[in-house]
Formats: sequence, C-alpha cells, structure tokens
Amino acid sequence: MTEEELIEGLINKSEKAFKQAFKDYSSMILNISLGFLQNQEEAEDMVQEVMIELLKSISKFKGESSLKTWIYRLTISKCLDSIRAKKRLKRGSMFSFISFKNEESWMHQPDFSHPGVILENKERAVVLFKAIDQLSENQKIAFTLNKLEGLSYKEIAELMESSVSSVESLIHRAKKKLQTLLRDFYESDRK
Amino acid sequence: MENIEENIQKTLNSLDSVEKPSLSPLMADRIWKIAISDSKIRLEETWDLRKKMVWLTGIATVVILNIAFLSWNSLENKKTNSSNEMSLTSLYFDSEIDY
Repeated sequence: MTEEELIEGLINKSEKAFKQAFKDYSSMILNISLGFLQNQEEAEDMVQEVMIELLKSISKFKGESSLKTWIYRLTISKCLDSIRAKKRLKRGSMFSFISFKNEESWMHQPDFSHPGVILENKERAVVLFKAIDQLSENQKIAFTLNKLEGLSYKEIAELMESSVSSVESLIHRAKKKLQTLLRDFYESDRK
Repeated sequence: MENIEENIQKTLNSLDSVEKPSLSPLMADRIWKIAISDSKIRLEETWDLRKKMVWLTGIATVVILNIAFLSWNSLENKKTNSSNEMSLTSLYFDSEIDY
C-alpha cells in the first residue's frame, strides 16, 4: 500500500488501512512515547490515543510533509500535553512542596527501564532517563529523537520546523546539561 | 575524576543501540474497535454520507427539473403549432363566412 493509498484509506475509515498504519507506525509512536513519558503503560495508552487521533484528524493532513513526519509531530505534541498536564497536577497537589523542594529531587524520581535497551546498559539508561527529564522541552525533543529514534539533525530540523544549526545547538546544550547533571549524580554517589 | 568522566560518557551513550519495541497486532484490533465506537468518528462518517446524499439529491432535482422543462416546452410548441394551423384552416373554412 502506497502512502497515498494509506491516507485515502484512513480518510475513508478503512479497517485495512488502519491496521497497515498500526503496523507501520505503532512501534515508532511507542518508542517516542516511552522516551517522553518514561512509563510503559502510559506509552501504550499514548499509542492508542495517537492512532485514534490519526483516524480523526487525517482529513486535516495537507501533505506538506510526509505522513511519518506528521505522525511524529502528533505523537510529540500529545506526549508534551500529557507531561504538562501531569506537571500541573503535581504543582496543584498539596504536598508538592515536600516532594519537589530541591533541585536534586530528579535523582529520586521513579526508575524507568526502556524495554529496548540492551541488558548491559539498563542501569545507566535508568539514570540517563531521569536526567533527560530535566531538559527543556525543545532540548528533550531533539535529544530523544536523535538518541532513541536515530534521526539525523536534518530530519529533526524538518520535524521541528527549524534549521539544522539550531538543532545542533539544542543537542549540544542538552548534552552539556546532561553532563552536568550526571557529574553531580556520580559525585554524590561516590560520597 | 577520570572514572566519573568515563561513567558520564558511557551513560550518555547508553541509548545508542536501543531496539524499537513492538506491540501485538491484537492491540490494533482493540484500538480499531475503540476508534469506530468513537462518536466523533461516527459523526464524521455520517456527515460524509449526508453530504453525498445532499449532492445526489441536488443533482437529481436539477436533472428532473430540466427534463420537466424540456417536455413542457415541447408540449407548448406542439400546442402553438397546432393552434396556428387551426387558425389558418378556420380562416378559410369558417362556417360563418358567407360565400
């Protein structure tokens, strides 16, 4: 099935097209959601949410980018919405000042183990995910897409509708911040 | 210090060879069922069908009106022709004319 046929099928609410889209894109949606939400169940729910949204909004797809890019954007925007909603909930909670009163609290966040990480890297990846969570939204998008999805700077720039140089700068700053956070972590671990 | 730097670098590279996780095709069935039971999607489908019906009704009405007008027009023409003929004949063979 070509991309045009797939889009046509999705517009006509064809089950065959929907299942083809699931086969082609669900793994990508799950991988990104895992990176952003850092929770297996929430990431699986996100796959469902994005696939339903895809069916609802496909008529709005203008073909200015590829369907894959459009689904990437849809997934990232849904994940960020979910993170923002969770943050609002935490801020609003009565005990937020107790649990998030200092900057080092990121180390004490719940562990997340990405199912696709190889065994020997599992422990390190748990620490890295906690640190990634401390990055700004744009740094997180650029770094996650580069590391987890293996996208090139050019692909990330197209997806974020910015220039390659700004993506390079985002990833550079993200790495710098991660290095600082990890240094603090390993130094405090040593003490 | 060297050990820490090495640790940092290894940690930063720990996501380099991540395998993409996959989902069971059964999940596709489950999501499809949820999707088609979604009222907004059903509404959109109904709306599409309604739009098609409106177009079909509109085109059918135009065609019917067109046929009706053509047949009315041809009937009128026939009437006019025959009345013209009558008037001609009545002019020459009118019984009231005194020969």
